[in-house]
Amino acid sequence: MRKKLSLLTALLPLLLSAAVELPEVKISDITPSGGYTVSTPQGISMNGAVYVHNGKTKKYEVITPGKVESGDNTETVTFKAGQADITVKFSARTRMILAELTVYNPTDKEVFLEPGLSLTVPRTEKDYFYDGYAKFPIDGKNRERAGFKGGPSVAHLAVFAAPVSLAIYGDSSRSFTLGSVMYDKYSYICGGVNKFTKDNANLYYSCRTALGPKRKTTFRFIIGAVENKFGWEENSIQAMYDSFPEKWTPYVGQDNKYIWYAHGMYRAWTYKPDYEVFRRYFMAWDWAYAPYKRSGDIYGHKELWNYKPLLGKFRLGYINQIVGGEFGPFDWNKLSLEDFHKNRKAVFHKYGKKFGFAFYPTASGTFCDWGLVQSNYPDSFLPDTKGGATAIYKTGWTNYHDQDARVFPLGTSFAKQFYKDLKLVYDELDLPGFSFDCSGSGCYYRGPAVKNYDLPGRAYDNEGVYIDAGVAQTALFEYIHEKLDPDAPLRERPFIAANGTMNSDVIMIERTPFDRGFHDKMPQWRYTFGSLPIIIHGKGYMLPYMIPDWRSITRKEFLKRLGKLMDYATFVQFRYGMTSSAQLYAGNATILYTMPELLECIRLGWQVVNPVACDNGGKVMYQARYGRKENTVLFYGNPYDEPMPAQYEVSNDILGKDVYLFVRQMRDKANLTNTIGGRQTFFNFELPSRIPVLFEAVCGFSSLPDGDVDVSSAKELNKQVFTIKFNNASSFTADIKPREVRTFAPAQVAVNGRMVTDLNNVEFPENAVMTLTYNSNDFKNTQDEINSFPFLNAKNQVDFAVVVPADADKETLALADNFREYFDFCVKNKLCKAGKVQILRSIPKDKPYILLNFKEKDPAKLGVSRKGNVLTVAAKDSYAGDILVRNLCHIMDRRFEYFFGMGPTDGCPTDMLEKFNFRGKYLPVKRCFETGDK
Amino acid sequence: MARYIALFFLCSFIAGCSCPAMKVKHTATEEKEELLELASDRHSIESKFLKLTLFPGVSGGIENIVLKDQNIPLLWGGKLVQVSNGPLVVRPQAFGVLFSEKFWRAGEVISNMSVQKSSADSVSLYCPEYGTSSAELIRHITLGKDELTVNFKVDVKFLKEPRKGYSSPWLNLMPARDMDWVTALPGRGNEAVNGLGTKTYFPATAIYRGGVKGGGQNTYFAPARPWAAVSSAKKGVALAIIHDYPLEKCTLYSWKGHYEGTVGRTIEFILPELKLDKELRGSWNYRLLIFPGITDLREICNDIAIEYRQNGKMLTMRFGSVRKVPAQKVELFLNEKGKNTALGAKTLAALDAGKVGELTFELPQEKLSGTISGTLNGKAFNILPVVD
Repeated sequence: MRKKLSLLTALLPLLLSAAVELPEVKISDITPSGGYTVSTPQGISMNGAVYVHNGKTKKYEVITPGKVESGDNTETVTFKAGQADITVKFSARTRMILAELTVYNPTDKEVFLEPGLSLTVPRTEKDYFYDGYAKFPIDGKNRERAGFKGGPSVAHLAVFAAPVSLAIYGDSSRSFTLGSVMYDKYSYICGGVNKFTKDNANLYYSCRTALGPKRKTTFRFIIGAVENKFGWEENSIQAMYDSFPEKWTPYVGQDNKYIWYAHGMYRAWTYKPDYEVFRRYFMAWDWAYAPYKRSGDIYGHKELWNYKPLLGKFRLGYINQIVGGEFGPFDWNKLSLEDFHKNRKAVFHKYGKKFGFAFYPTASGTFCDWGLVQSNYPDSFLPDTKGGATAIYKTGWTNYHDQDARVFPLGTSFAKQFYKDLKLVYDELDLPGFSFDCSGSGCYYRGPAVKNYDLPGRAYDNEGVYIDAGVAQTALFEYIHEKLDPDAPLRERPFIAANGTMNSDVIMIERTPFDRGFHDKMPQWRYTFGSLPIIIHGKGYMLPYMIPDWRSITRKEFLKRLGKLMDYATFVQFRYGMTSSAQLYAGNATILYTMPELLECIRLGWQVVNPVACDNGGKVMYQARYGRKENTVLFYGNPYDEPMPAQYEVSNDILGKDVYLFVRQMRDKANLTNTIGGRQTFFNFELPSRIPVLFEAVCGFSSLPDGDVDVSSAKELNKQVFTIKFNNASSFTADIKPREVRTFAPAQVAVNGRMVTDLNNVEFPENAVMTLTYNSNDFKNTQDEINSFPFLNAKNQVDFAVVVPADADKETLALADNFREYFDFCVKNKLCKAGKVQILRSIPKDKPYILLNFKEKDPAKLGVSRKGNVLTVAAKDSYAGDILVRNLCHIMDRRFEYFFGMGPTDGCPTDMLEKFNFRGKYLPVKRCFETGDK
Repeated sequence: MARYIALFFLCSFIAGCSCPAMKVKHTATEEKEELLELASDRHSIESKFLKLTLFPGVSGGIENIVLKDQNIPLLWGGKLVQVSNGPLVVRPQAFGVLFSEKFWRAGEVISNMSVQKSSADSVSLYCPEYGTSSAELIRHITLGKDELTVNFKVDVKFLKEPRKGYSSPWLNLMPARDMDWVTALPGRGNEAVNGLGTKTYFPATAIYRGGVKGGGQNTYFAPARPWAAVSSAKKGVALAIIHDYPLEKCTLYSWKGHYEGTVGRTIEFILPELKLDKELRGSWNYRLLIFPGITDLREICNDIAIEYRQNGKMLTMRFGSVRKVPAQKVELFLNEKGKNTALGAKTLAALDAGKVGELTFELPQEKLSGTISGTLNGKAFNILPVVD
């Protein structure tokens, strides 16, 4: 009887205990006072607890147990911590447990509370702690990172780099994680590890709130446990990406026509915009720097127009050269308010949407003329300089004549005006987006506005209540995305580019890869940015620094060294999923050649863990992973002059739930023998010297028999066919998930020639052959068919028409004009002879023509198609038409090929180009994504 | 070879077909920065007191100047290294701080100079295309005979009209590490330094130690003297850089930073743009003065370093000379609230090169609230106050 009782006692928790369960981690045994157990499939079981520290009494609140309620893979516990009501809802998010902790203050007074989670983690000999910025070996000392002031290596101009919001403890084989969802509006996050014993340590993570009376707030904590198969902290960070992908997904989406391309680095903003140059550099947007007279008055209000800048005289700076000075200098000494608005509007209306002018709003709504701060917005000043930030730029910054003072754009008098001004400039200038500078965290606002209990992110420290600058940035982003143009489709909402570490649509890193500062920041900054697109804004190759003995070397030696640097630039773009500018592209034909593949990788999203073991004999190799599951693409780069044979083992279980097959990604054709062993995919490949190599996943299978599988691809512009030949001795069945190919219709699947419509339980007979056929949504003809269109006459002169509908709108006419600009560029660069591109509203009888239709309703007719001497470009609207015309032009570039020669840049002096006779020249293109076989 | 590897791989697969036995070893590595010292020929010249070593192939950069009798290296020094980040990013770099000729604004270039002429105590280095400024350049270095001086004369012929800032000689000296140097940067007060990317005002004409409030790590000064110096009480020596250019056209600059894990602070002059002839030729010169026995250099007069030590009312004036000098007449004044009080006139005995002579004067009170000025053989000197 006693035995039976003890068995029952042992089983009772198992029988009664509900749990939130994921394949890698489970949370169970949740108690009414907030205790819990976290366990892993490897048999590790850890106790943890919710705790609440009182920032006023400096004591932990006494917990009064409440109740636990179970839901569909959710557990919710409610209890009292001191007088506060606490609710914690545990739920599953792909690879991590989400713990949404709501605090309610029922009292009539403001309370300072720091709720957190703890976990008693098992110790091992070589353990480490990652604090959100860096990894430290455990040496018996407590480790903690708190707040947003940043680490010493991550200070960034006026603000600080946001940490990865995780506290990770582990060793080479596993990691345990507590954290908060990144970029939620918190002003204080803290993670640490302490209480070391021989067997255990205490991992903890907390957030602070200064909670007003009768107010509530919610913190989103996360709990994870992963095996460290590839790297250390990377595995936990990947689990966070996988669990909260929305935090690293651009708000404006895949269909936005700007953010997925390179930026102009002022090529269109400061100089006379040239669309063809812009497009051929794969640029689609530009930093529209400081288009205002007075820092803090981005709109240009009448009552603020006439003033004396604190630095004495008005200076012109960049503003003098906007769009090459086409609308005259913005000379603040002479320009009337009316002319300012008229001229600025003219600049943006003529070029703004075509060149993606992202309006620079006085850094990130964080700077205001110090005089204006004192007279109009004294409550808004943010004087925090702790950690090395600057509060007042006494020698000026954004417009060169104002002393820029830091202000807080949330809940303050400046914020009220700034939000209005954003709307005013957005409407007046018809903006495609905004560019934020120094957009980060780490400066704490403690001014009068923090008294407003309803502002988000109110936290506290020894100096009282504050809100972090990052909270204001996130709120601004939300306003711009959601409120400026709420009726517009997502793709057409204003995009946000940000220099900093907040999660905007596209990120700027103001460092070239040849700058040591770049390597100081990477890969940490990439961890922070996740899969967001990144652009490099920097001084190119820094050749005097990289080739400091250039005066003493021969041309041959110079070109040899330059070639290596250029290949390195290409590799860095793929390694970190980032684009650059003409500073790296001019003279580097190969990097431009690889741009289409790079841009597709960036769209798939950079991932921190590349779950591929690779034996290359310990040599240096560049690698990255983009996308997930059957949409994975792997990048590899061999930096040596000799080919690099290597063996690869893909851990499919980290990519997704299936077994995946790969083939080298090429534009024409490729084949690769995959070997399946259990859940792993193996292949051998000899990496060629100094070119990027991509392997694309082709299809996911719920399971595959062990053995060899030959995968091949045959691609054309309008059609891609992947063939998978199994060498299976006996039949098998599997659920299959063909990859998606962007701008192509879903795959048509056939096994041994028979079409498969149900992708579940597909039968594969002995030695089966499966084909996946994708038809392009954008192009109905092959590249040869498109490019054999008679753009030129027999004399090699441009001679065709672009036909627009009789009622064509201005957008359609502008896109028609793109073809004229295309061939102006070709003529100028001697790719063909001068002739004429006629833009007509009726069909010509005597010449080939491109027919534009941007109001096509029939999906079957969308895209580019050629019939004889008619090339039809059909899109559902002019926004989609713009993208289609751009894509068509990139295809035409393969016939009218042009690479930009090197010119003097910040990173390459004229003397050097002249000494080596390299001005206007480029290194030979390496066509690494084509076999060359026809 | 690749086929053999593939065959081996296939064989291992067949052998281990009871999966998941087959495992690929993860061996690929990420790039990391590596340093490799490169061989570069040295050239040495020597005088009775000094030994100077330089690398002609590394822009003629001076590796060091050693005070021979005490074997004290005076400069930070450096070497030529190869810095690599993987096989693609490999560059030579003058690691450390070699003292070479530079032009303000022009990026640094490692120029291969050849020894054009040399003797035991002098060398002329030549480069047909020197630096980013693109100039034919000859650097003449002569160790003063029976002196503790290093004399520099530089002849340059630009190959084309230099851009603004690209013909301003930049004397960029980093004194040796581990010397506990006290820096003396004589700056003019209430004067802006313009045109150098910054604008700095200092409240008073004084000797700044480099840690000026608000000045940060980089500090520009309107110079109050044609020299800047460092003194080491630890090693008992001072080192000064000195020139003859009009002060109002020069900038004194100092930069503090971590070099190879140790903190260092430079003493630098940016000289005026060169006056070039029609053939774009120009020249400049400057000197280094070394003063053994001087530990807190406050003024230089007739190439004699002056410092003082106070003990109660007694003021001991110390004079260090770079060369043998005859006896000198010294007059001393205390300047207090616009009033000059004569402290006396005495004769400083003849000094040998590298030696220090002392004279003691009595102050009217123990607290020294003014500044000290005087004459040395009739030439006036004025010891500036110190701002730490």
